Amino acid sequence: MEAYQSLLQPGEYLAGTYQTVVIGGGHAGCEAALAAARMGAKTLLITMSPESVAMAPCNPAVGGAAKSVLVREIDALGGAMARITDQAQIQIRMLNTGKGPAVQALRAQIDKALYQRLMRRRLEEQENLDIRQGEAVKLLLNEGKNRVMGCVTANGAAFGAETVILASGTYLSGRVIIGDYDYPSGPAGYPPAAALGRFLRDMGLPVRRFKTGTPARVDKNTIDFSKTEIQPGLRGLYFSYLTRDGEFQRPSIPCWLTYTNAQTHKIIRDNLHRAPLFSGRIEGVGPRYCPSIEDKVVRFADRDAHQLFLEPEGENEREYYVQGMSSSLPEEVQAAFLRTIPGLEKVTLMRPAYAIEYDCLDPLCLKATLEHKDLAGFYPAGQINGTSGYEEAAAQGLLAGINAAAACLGLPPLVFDRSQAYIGVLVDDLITKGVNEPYRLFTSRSEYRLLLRQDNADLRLTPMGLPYGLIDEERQRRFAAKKEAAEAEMRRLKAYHPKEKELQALGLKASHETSLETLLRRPEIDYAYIAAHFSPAEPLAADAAEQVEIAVKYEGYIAKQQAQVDKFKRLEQKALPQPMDYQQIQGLSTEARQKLTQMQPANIGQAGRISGVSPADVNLLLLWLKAHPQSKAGE
Amino acid sequence: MTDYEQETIVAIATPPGQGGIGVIRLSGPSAADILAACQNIPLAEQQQRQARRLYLHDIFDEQGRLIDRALTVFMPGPASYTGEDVAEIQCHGGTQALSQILAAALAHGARLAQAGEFSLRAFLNGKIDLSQAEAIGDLVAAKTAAGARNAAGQLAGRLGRHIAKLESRLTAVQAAITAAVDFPDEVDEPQNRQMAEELTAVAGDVQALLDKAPAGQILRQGLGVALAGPVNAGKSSLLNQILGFDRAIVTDCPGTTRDMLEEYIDLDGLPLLLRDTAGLRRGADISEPERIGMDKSRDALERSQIVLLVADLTDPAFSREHILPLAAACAGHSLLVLNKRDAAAERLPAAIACYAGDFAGEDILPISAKTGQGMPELLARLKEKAGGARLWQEEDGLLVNARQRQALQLAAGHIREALAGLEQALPQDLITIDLEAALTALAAISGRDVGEEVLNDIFRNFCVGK
Repeated sequence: MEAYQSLLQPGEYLAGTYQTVVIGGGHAGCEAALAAARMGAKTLLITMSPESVAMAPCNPAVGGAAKSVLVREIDALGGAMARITDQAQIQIRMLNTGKGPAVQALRAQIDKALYQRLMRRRLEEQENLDIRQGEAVKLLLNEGKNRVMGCVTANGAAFGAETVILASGTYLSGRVIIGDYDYPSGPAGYPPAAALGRFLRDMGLPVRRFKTGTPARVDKNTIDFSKTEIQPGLRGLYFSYLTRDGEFQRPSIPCWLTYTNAQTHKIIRDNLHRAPLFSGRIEGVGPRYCPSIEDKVVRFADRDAHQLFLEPEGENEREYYVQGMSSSLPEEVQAAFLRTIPGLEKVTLMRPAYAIEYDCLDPLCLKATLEHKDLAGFYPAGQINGTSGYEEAAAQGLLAGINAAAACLGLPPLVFDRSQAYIGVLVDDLITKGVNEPYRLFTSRSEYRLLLRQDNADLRLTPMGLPYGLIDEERQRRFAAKKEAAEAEMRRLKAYHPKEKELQALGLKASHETSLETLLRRPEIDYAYIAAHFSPAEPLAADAAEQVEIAVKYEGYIAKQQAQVDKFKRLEQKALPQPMDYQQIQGLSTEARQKLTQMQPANIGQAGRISGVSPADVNLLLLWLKAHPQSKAGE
Repeated sequence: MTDYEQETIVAIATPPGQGGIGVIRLSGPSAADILAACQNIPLAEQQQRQARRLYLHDIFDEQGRLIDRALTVFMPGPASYTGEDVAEIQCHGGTQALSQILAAALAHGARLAQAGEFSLRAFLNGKIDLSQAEAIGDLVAAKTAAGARNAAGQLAGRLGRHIAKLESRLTAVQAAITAAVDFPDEVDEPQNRQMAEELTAVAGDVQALLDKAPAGQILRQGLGVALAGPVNAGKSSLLNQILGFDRAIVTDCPGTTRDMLEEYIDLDGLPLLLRDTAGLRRGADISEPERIGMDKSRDALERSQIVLLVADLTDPAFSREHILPLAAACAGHSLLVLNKRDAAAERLPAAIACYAGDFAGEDILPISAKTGQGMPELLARLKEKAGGARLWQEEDGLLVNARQRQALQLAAGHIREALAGLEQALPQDLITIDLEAALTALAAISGRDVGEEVLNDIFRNFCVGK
């Protein structure tokens, strides 16, 4: 208590002390607070408005390629996103069904308001977690300014804390731009957090300016759906490993597909001079994977149509999200070009599309735990680290929450490498390569993607979460059952050699070494066929059957990837001292020396992924490590 | 990326050039396997042999063809120079056998050692002390780091452009698959057939690059030496002189060498590929087969690093008419051979004088292919010329070293696997694993960031986004 009292300024009072304080109640903040509290750390969540937690200010969807693996990984570690999506979804689909198991991806449309209510309830039900309305305006720092001690709100309420997780999303110094009109704002009309942004800049943290955007929302009652194509969903698909079939009664509301045309493009072209991206009103760097419609029209001038999806924002809301039409043109231009589109001839706007600029921090300053290298106890997570997307944010929040709590509770850090999880790929990319635009996960970012599938996130990660108290009994039980069933069936398939007569009766070509496993390897035979004709004593649950089928069918490629992983791991296990003086190593190139000094990579593998560090530089590091075996790396 | 503990490295341990004996050294966990494979014996048989003892055995290339009879020795770690399993093959000296055995070891899974890498491993395993190691550190830094840093400079050259083209074509295929995976609602899957065609073409280009690369060519084929000149100047006789036995068809009827003859020789450790060419002449009485032969000859000249221009002293004017245009075309890498000095010794001073403007004095070599007179001088000059610039320098601006060659071979292998996957109609995202491996292999030359290049391609060429 006294330690904190001495840090307060006139007008501030000590409102409480915690082990972990989370600033921000978006997707990162919610998962962070839940994880820390679940582990037993005394936790506080500070949010500008408790009713706006877990807001989805952009698309009303969770999942998609690569992202769905993240959602499953969060679930495998006991996070909330998957379960709440299952409860709040109003349409679900499996993408890439014709492709391999590594890239099949779930995507759900969610009822945004319901999602927020469910998350709020989840937070309020969580033990060890307090929720407080307020705007954090500054951090409390120790005298040396190298350790965070808590934070203070605009009202002067100071909260002492051993660790602070900053999950401020796009609110920091946020500015919304619509055509030639711009004003300070957070997303969806919420107020920005200007003071904290200034505080971080004044602290000397490198701050950069990013930009993102969101399309218009239109009134459902003014859409003529008969002129569009229906995009129905499926049933019986769930994100969470815990959700049982039929557990939640959910509607299935379709999305709708329509197209722009020459008339749309003409209006956009005629008004390009009023687009802030072209007029220079926007300075922030926007993501390439999320171009505005004016960007698409200019860059792909030969296309005479672009597709757009009309997606419901909720089960009962009249608002529809116009996916594919992100824009920062003036409102009246937006309305005009939308009305050229089949089905939208009489459409009225409910919210205009807008671009938003915000401050974010340089993730190169972070460790793999997401703790800041120069400010102990400080864990930035989510969009503040230059990422984009609810799932990317939630994954970082979870990781930051786990590690902040672990630091308070005396547990070792929990980090994931690139071969273990998409979370590991995400964090390694951020802290090793940095960001030049808002970062989104893609399957191509993961070199070991065949091993990092959405069907096996539990098998990969649930055991890792167990010692941290992240995994409840129900999940442990379900995990063990799936794992054991799949393993037992694998043993049976290897051991069972059908008789020649049995095979002939099925019209199958036989040879003396045919086992059920070799049969299943044949392209024309799937596990359902095996189960039907050579059924196990107890029928296999669908999730275990899926594991068996993938393990057998893709054995060759899985082995290839495993060999790559083994090679990767050997370098990843060679830890570098922290901090390390790279001046003393003879022969490093100047660029490598600078980058290594700045980034202080944790191990040889990470050092090798830094741009500007050549294989020869890596050899020198290996040589140095061997010559100085006493320099044990340590946190 | 280097991975010291798992890869087996190989290098020629004896200095280049002449010598009665040559040593190939292997170090690493697969040393015994590779040694056994080079002898075409089972690993078990190798393991039964006594350690640190010499065994006489035939050595074979990867197709099972005999290379040489050699002494082999296996020294298990840690009691070896590097501290790892070490194997040595001591063969007859001379570049040809050494190169072929090196190629066999590479084919059986060894990786070519970097400069100072044996010593580096010895240090890493505590076999030599720190002061020695510092020196090696300098060595590694000086050689490989300089090489790595110069890579950017090299990449501006033709090899760089070739590699960049291969990379961008592979990246385009990779991006097409990946865009459809990451944006399934917006991008359709590419067609297997088109991808297979493109990958087949890329694989062909990788192979062409490998074939053109002089290091590879010299390892496999030797340095090209063409014999050219007017008809009946005695080129085939000269070839026979060099070979030391009758191989070419030799007649007095002009134009009998219509098909090209190629012959390997080992000239005191220099692998040479001798090419006899059809005699050049003009006139109405050239037959069709002869014309084909002459076209082939021109091609052979272009592919050869050294050209022996053979002139007939008994017919100086006719010779000079044919030699001079060739001399201009092969400037700097040709020798002028004045043949039949036994039959026309009196014309020699005049001939030398009349070519003096076009050839350096030491590059004019009077001989008699019939009697062998002047042959030692010719061969000595040929060796000097071959040991000089053009052998180890670029051809077509393509400088391909052993590491780059290995990277290209690796890439070719992964592309073949991708093609096999397409053939079996596997899901396309599995193909990306092979393509990524191929791109990663090429990135060892170019230093590009594979994942980032694919994303760049997607955003450049596919209209995706919310």
